[in-house]
Amino acid sequence: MVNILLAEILKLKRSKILLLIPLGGLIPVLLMLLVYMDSQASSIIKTYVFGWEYFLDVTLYYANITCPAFFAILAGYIFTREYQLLTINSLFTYSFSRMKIFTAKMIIIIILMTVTFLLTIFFTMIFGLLLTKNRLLPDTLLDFVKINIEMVFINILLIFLAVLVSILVKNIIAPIVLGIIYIFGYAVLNRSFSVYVPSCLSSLFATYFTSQLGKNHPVMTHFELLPDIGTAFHTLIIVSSVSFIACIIYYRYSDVG
Amino acid sequence: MEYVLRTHDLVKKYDNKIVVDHLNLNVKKGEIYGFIGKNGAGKSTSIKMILGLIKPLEGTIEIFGETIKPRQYKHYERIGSIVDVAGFYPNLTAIENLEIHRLLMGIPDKKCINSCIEVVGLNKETSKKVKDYSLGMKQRLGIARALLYQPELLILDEPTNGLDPVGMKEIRELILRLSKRSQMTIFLSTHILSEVQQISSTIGIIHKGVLIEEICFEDFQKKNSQFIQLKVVNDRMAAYVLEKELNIIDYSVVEPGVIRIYDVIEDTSYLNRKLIENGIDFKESVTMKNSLEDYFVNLTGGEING
Repeated sequence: MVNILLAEILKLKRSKILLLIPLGGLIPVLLMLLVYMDSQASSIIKTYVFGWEYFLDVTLYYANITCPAFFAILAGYIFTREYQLLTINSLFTYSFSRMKIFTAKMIIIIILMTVTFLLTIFFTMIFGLLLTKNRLLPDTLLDFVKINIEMVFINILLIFLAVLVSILVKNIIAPIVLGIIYIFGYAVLNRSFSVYVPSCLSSLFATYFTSQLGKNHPVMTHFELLPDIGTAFHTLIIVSSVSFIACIIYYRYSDVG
Repeated sequence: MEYVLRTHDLVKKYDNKIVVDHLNLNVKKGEIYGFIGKNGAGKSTSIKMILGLIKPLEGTIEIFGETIKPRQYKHYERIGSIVDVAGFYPNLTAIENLEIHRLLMGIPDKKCINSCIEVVGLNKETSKKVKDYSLGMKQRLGIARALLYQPELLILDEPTNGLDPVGMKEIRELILRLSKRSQMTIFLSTHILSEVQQISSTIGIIHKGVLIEEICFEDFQKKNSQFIQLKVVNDRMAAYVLEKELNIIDYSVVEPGVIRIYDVIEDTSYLNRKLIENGIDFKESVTMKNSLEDYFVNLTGGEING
């Protein structure tokens, strides 16, 4: 298994898709900055009024809109390139099962997703230090890290849908389209049926987790009501388990070429 | 007789259309088996079934004397293959691509990479990324990958696809060298008949999914003995003279004005003289040998492609 993982890492060497990782980490922070700059308050007041909670929550909010799209494209690239480059013909003729290859690819995707969230935290810290005079309390930072870890898990469960689409269509266009749908899924975020829409789940859970902190978190102002997290959870479990099982069956048993 | 690869009544259908129909291949140890057929005859599908990339609808595959069961992978360690066009990661160099293969094969020694690169003559191109390689270079790299762990069975699906005549000759020579040097069994699929004729010890001809002939090269040569081809103005008159004056009965008029004489003629000058004496005008009289191409066309009843 170690060798398969090393091979998967080597395949990504000099790969431009890796740019998605720093981009995925940076874009939510840049969107947060836009919101910050758009605020009416003067820059001096802003540095005192806007606390760390503001930066962390807004970044988290945007991260959960943009990151699922980035992850869908990343996972799509890792799976579909084997079909598009015809390397699948040799990849499936080694003396180990297709499931080991699937597992290795998923491990790589999960590592890259985690790195993206870590970069989001890192960039938020950098910009936060530049923009606010308030002190960052250890509890606030810990809460933020904890929520990000929870969001990695939510996104891991969601990624199977992107993987399924990728291996079914065998073309990078499909996960790109899915990524775009994820971003536009944001449009229905405030609707009651959003708990049934996979593209909204990441944002809904981010909102829910933030609300559980019991502090004044500005991200909550976007929502009139808290999401029905129980239904959202059921949707998440159904979408991820159905996608996962379909992925396993299709990847393991389907004909190549 | 020891067989490295055998298939028993292999069947594959796509959308109710039979692509491979009860295929029975018998590949002997150490031989070069030429698997020929037109484009779309079922060659690649057969190879993909042998390699486990697609599942047969019916039939069994026997590799190294063992019937392959679903999700059995051990035998792949002893097989090297190129299916369709050899696929590589374009962002990586040749060595990095082979390193991936080495890792996946679990070969501990990295030296094998350089020696295989050398065998296929790519040692001066190792720093180039594969995206800058020509099709011929990629095909050679594909063979290097297939050879990395000295397989006992090498399966090559159209290895000279897209190569110029020099490249084709190089690959042919490489295949011959490998077969002689390491007693490797080579299963070579192609639609280029001359390629197979020059190097194969057994020939399998597939047409519309059916293996219509499996013949060893000696038998093929016996079947395709020499003949004399005459191009005459009046083939009826010429046929009359052949039968009545020269007692030749084993001949055929292959097309208007073209006669092939299969009887053994010791003195062709006597034949020519007799024809002239009997007033037969002929444009050409040459001794020829049936090519694999003729044989193939006779069997499949059509033109070859490619």
